[in-house]
Amino acid sequence: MIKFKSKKLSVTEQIQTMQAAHPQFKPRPLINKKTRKAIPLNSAVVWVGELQPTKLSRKYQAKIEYRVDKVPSTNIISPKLALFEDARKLPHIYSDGSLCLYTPKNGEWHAGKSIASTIVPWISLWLFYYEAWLITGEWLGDGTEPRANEVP
Amino acid sequence: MTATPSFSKYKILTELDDLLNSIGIKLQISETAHNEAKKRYGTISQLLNAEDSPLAKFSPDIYPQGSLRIGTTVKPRGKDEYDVDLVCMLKADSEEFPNPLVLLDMVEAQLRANKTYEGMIERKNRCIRINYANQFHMDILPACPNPSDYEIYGEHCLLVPDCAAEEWKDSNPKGYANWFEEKARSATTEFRKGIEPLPEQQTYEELETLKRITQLMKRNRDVILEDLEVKERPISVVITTLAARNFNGNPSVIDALESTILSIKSEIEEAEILGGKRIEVLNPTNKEEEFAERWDTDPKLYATFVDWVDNFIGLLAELRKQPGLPEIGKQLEKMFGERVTQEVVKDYVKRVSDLRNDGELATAYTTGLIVPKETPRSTSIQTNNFHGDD
Repeated sequence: MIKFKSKKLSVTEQIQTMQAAHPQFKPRPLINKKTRKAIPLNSAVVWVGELQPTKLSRKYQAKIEYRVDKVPSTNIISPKLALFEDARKLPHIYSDGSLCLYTPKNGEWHAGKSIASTIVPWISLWLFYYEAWLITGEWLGDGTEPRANEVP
Repeated sequence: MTATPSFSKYKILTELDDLLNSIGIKLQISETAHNEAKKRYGTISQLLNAEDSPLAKFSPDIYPQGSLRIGTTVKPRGKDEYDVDLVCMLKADSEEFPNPLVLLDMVEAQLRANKTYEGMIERKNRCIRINYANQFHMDILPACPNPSDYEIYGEHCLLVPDCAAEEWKDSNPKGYANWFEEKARSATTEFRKGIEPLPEQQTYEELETLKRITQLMKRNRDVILEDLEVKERPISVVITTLAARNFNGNPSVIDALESTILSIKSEIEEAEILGGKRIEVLNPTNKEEEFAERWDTDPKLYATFVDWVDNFIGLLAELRKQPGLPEIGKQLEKMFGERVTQEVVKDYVKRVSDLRNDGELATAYTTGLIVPKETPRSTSIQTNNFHGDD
């Protein structure tokens, strides 16, 4: 696979592009769990915002955590995502509960891409297929499932 | 392009209307099957008109009546066959044939004489049924002209065998179909007068909302009353007539369903107030015929009908209150059946997925709504695969 060098976006730039397209995603500093201290906003950020995939859908609260040199991690914090009938787990979710939004080895996301123009739309799309899964029991959005212990 | 477009073929429909409209369309006989039926009864017509046919002198003319004619067919639950109701018009004088069964016998004989229909013919009380396995069964009802009613009800008046198959009774399937179409048209015109600005003419005409709500009401009856015998449920012509006379022309399926069923409820309450009576459902093209005559002979049937109306009102109210798409899906399954709802949802998802695969989707700024790419203030959804192994 060709790895090309593209200019990485800084966290500040990520915050700016997010503000321009999806201002409902408000940035906050990420708290270091060990030191309980806020990490400076030029190194990491947490956004929480609302998305509604279709006019008939609920509104969902999504949280996106991003640290420089790591991949963004997305969780749906509300409402609690229900399961289809007798399914035991949600589809396309990593073992840490975050959403599988893209395939890393395809370079679908890398640090040169704006999270606002990639991750956020993919969350809406994921939610759309999640709702369809709740009705039909089938994941109609293609893709492959993560392995059992996989984390992003 | 409206600000929040749905992925509906009809841009003026909301997403919920689109789902309901799709359910109605999915329940009706397919164009293929419809054309197939036409071919088949055309063949039967030719057979009856053949030179050596004793019926040839009556110039038999076979045409559909009922739901097939007006476009409100609903697939019977649990079966894959449609009921195709046909009239076999014979230019015979009913005075010469006071017993309608004589003509019916002649039709049966001519059909049985032809090897094609061997094993497919069933003699019913007042019609001949031809079974086309896994497609449809055709019920052929003999009829002759009724010129005595032409002046009042038009030139399509007929006589058909009555339920006991002993005498002729009045009927007017073509007249009824014309009445139904006219009701749809005039209500829609009236409704549109109240809207500014007028939306695209063509789309409104395509919508056929009255047909859709009639189908959905019939289907809900089939689903909710599935434990009752067919003859204990409200009959289709009653539902169809009540729908047509209470339709207000609103193109929105959900709004039309609601206003129509509430209007029917008002009729029921009014009749109740005026002396504990039941509503009347006279054939608008033959006031001598009361479609709901069985409500007199068996009052329980009227009670079933009234309960069904109340229940439907409740179900619609619940539908409007559902907070999300999966909940709406569940409610639609409850109202119209699981399989058809699932199919409609999958079709809807497929439409969106096809656009996704063509790179035609975006999400709107601020809301995250999935919209077509050209929508202003939106971000294109870039290619993604929901995870793969590294």
